[in-house]
Amino acid sequence: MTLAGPVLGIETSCDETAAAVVAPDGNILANVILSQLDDHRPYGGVVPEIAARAHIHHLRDLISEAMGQAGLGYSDLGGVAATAGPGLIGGVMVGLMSAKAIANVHRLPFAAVNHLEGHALTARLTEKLAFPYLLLLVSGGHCQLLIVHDVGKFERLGTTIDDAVGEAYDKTAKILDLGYPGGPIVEQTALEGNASRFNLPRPLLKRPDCHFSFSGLKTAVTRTAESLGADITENDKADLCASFQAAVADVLENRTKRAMDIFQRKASESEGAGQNPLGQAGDDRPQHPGRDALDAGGDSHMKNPASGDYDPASLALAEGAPSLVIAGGVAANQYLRGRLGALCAHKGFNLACPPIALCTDNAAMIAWAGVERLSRGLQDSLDTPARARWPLDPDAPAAIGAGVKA
Amino acid sequence: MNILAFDTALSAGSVALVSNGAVLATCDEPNAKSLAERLVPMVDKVLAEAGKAYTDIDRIAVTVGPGTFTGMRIGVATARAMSLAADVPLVGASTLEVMARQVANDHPSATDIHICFDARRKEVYCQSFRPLGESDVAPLSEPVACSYEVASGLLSGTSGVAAGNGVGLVETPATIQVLEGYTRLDACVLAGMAAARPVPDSVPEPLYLRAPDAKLPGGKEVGA
Repeated sequence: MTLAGPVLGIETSCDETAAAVVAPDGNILANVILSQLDDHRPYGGVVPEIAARAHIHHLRDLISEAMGQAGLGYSDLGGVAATAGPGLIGGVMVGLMSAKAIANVHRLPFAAVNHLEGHALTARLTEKLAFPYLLLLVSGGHCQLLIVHDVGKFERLGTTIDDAVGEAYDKTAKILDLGYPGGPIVEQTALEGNASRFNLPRPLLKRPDCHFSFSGLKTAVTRTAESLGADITENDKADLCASFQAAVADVLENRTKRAMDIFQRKASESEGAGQNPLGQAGDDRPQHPGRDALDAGGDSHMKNPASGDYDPASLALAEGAPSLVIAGGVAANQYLRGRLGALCAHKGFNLACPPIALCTDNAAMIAWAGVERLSRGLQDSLDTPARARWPLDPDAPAAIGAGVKA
Repeated sequence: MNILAFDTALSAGSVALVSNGAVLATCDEPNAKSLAERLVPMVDKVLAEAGKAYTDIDRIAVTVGPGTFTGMRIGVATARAMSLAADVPLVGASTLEVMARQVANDHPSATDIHICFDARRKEVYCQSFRPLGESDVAPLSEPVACSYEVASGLLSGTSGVAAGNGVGLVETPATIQVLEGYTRLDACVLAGMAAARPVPDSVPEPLYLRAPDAKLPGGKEVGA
């Protein structure tokens, strides 16, 4: 299906209220975002009801602003997309209802987007990456390794069985009384620290799967901070942050390395089975690099692979080296990017990191996911519910030891 | 004037299209749990039944609360975006006002109307009104969320009629006639109120009457 125009995207699933307009060729016409950081800072974390109230207060103006920046009227749009989950349900509801209303008024196609799919597809917006690729999704709410086979087709290789990695950063900052949000502060503090001073645990490294666990690490940070007592110095804090971050990087590196092996094994198996190594990815690979590669006008190469047969066991690599995409708010961390970049160099993978503004929560990724879905005819009806939980790979077996959040 | 009116703030949903006082179409949903799914299709159904398009709508009306936080946000978020995209003015009315007008329509002789909704957590939302013209009400007090005891105190020494699903939770003096059965809001009544009101300078916001549940680190209260 050729999109009749750009897609308006709306994101309200956590503590950023955002609206964006993205053209079918990936050109970002507007991308406005309002962070609620100051509203939540006194509480040391996101308060769902405060977030929901801020979303409804600001969203209408942000949508107007995005449309104004794009220079478009609502009837010029080719579709409307909103995050329908997973996330804080009160906020999700605000964005979802607003998008449905706009779609209904102008009889536009509507896409109910999985927030995680928004993160997962961003690399196709910014790097024009072809399927399949390996994705490390690291944020305040998630920590997962997935093979992205296609739009709507994910194979989960690993997930956290307790805390998300961003959560571990926030908690570390809280334990050390460094402020909120923890991610950037811990990263900054760690710059001055000695990463080998404290020997913190690297949970699950011996397990043959790709799962993560960070709650033991958090406990170790707490214990270490307690043992330093009230006399804890700025130096101690820097050393502890550096030691914590090194442990996180070791875990991410180890688990990602394992996922790379699985990704490559599957790729070679599908080649060994006599399939065209470019086979599955062939139809949707951008034919030439650059913005026009995904142009709606040339959408023959975007031809509905979603409707084709899909066998998760067969994985055909895209041309050249396979790619690892890091997405989610934690992907903004330069130290972790560096460590994963070194791993990629070692394993022969390309590292694809979207720009930081598109790694953290934003609406451009939701609008882009809307472009990807609607151009494949994946439209949603206006009675679509909001979903607090919405796994990308609902068929993945439960991780051993994992709680309900995993 | 064609008015599209909807309410999802209490325990049910109601949508109506009213043209110069004549009801063209209505749609009701008794199940509050599915309002996020049902609201937009309900609006569609009402428009189709009335044979109208969004371009025929002159004004949108919505209840802003008090009620369930999720319910009022479903209605208000939808109404705010709809009015933006359709470029149609949005008028809000509180759930307490709409219920008071429903009472006034049924009991033309009532002078003082006290509305009381169950706000859960052993509290009620309440406010008192007097009928105003043919389709509106004038407040006699501010809307509040308060304990049963405080609400009982507010009603003592007053007269008139009392209604709403929280009226059984508070003590009403013998001078007040308690009316049963006022549990659902009627979007047609909301439409009538919105028709007579001026368009507000700012876009309607939810009326929560309660601070968000949030504790500062160390258990301090908000604002402490």
